[in-house]
Amino acid sequence: MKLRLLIFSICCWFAVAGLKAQDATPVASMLKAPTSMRDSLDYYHKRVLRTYERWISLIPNIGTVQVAGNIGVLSVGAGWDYGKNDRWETHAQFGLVPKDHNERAAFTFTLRENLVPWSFGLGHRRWAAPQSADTHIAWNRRAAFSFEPAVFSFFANTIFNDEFWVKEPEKYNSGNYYRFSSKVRLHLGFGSRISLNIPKEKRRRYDRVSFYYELSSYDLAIISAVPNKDITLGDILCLGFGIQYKFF
Amino acid sequence: MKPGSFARYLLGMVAAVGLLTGCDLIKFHPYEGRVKGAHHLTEKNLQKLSQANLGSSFKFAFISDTQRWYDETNEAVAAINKRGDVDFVLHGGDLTDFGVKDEFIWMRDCLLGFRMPWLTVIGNHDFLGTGEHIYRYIFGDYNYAFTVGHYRFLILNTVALELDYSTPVPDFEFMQKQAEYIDSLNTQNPDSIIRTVFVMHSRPGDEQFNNNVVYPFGLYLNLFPSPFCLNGHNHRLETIEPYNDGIYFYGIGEIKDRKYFLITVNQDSSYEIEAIDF
Repeated sequence: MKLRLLIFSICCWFAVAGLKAQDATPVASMLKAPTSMRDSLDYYHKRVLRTYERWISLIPNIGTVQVAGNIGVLSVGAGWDYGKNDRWETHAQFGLVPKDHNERAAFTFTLRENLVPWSFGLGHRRWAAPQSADTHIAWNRRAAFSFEPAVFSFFANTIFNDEFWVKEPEKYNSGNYYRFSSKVRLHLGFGSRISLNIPKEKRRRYDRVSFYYELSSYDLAIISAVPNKDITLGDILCLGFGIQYKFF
Repeated sequence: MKPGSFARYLLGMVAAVGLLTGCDLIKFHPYEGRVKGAHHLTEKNLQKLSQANLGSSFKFAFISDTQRWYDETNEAVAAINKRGDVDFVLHGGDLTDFGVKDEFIWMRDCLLGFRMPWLTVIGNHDFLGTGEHIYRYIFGDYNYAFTVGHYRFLILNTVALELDYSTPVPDFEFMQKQAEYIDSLNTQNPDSIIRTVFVMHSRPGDEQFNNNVVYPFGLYLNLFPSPFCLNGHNHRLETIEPYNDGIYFYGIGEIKDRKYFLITVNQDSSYEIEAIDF
């Protein structure tokens, strides 16, 4: 136990030292113990180190606050970005659906996958001179703002309310009476986002703050609109918008 | 980011929502309870109907099961409006397929195209999710009654399966009170009510009906002056006499079949029913 703690504190120490030394290096890669230290460990401790590193990579690095968008009046979430140029994002969001004319208010949970294929830099970050060594940062991240014109989303939302079911209750005998799940809705969305890449000297809590909107629609609305010319795209679209906080 | 700026962003967002909630694109959830536009339509249409002050002869149309057939519903509305001789329209339930709020709004907006008063009964699909609460707000009560000429109309919720038999469906207390009311009217003024029309979504024998009470339901129907029944749900045109006692159940198909019932009530309170293609 003491040894594990020691290894973990060494990792943390290197991480902090790394953060201070190389401001431009992505934090996730700094949390890895340096090779020189790794080589001095035996098999068992290397394995423990790997376990720590894997768990560290599970810390969400993005927070979201979203308004509307068919997942609640207000939703709060945590997410991860990964892949080349952090193109892919996974978010988990909790939302609240107010009571209004329903019997009660309800919480919802959303699991979302975003694809951000392009990112364009607007303006320059003052601190990122072109001759600096931090070439491993994508050029758009060195800009003062970045603009992501297309964010494609696919998300599933479930509502916590006993009036809904995933599988039809047994009272419907055969189970193919309604042939859908009232509790789980699948949505497709498209949106854009503008991000403020916070300059080094002003960075306190966030590395980047993004504002986004999203137009989306859901399975039941789409299948209602397809056979009916009187149900238009405007009828089935839903607007949501929010803020993304990238912590590291 | 300065401390407190998160709160400021949040406040800004809330203000933006306040501005944008006027916009129809802002939706909180497919099953949210926030409904904009016309509501309590049963009450409003009943007022319109009583203001129309119809005499002992009148014509009304019956449509049903319009879920997810908005084009056809709009065509039916146009066809019934175009006739010019229909005094009011009854809808036999299943306005929605999934009980989603959007569906209620789209269907409401289709039916608002009727130039004459129109009234609805709740169907089993309208109970899905939180649909029944939205139905109650946009339309109104599940059971209600009204009089036109010498006809008494009883609109009955008959989808017992959706309520897990926890609520009396059909509501015999309601039926009994209506029967007593008709009796009292007829005692004061003989022949005030000559015939009763029952409008329901599912009929006795359907899987949605509480089939434990098929027989008592038949007995209750006989408390009313010469009744007949209109129903939807089975998505087919049919006329049946389940109790072999002269009480007919006229079932209309889904709106996709492009048919509606036209019921003509004559001066002598006899009636003719025909299925009209549109």
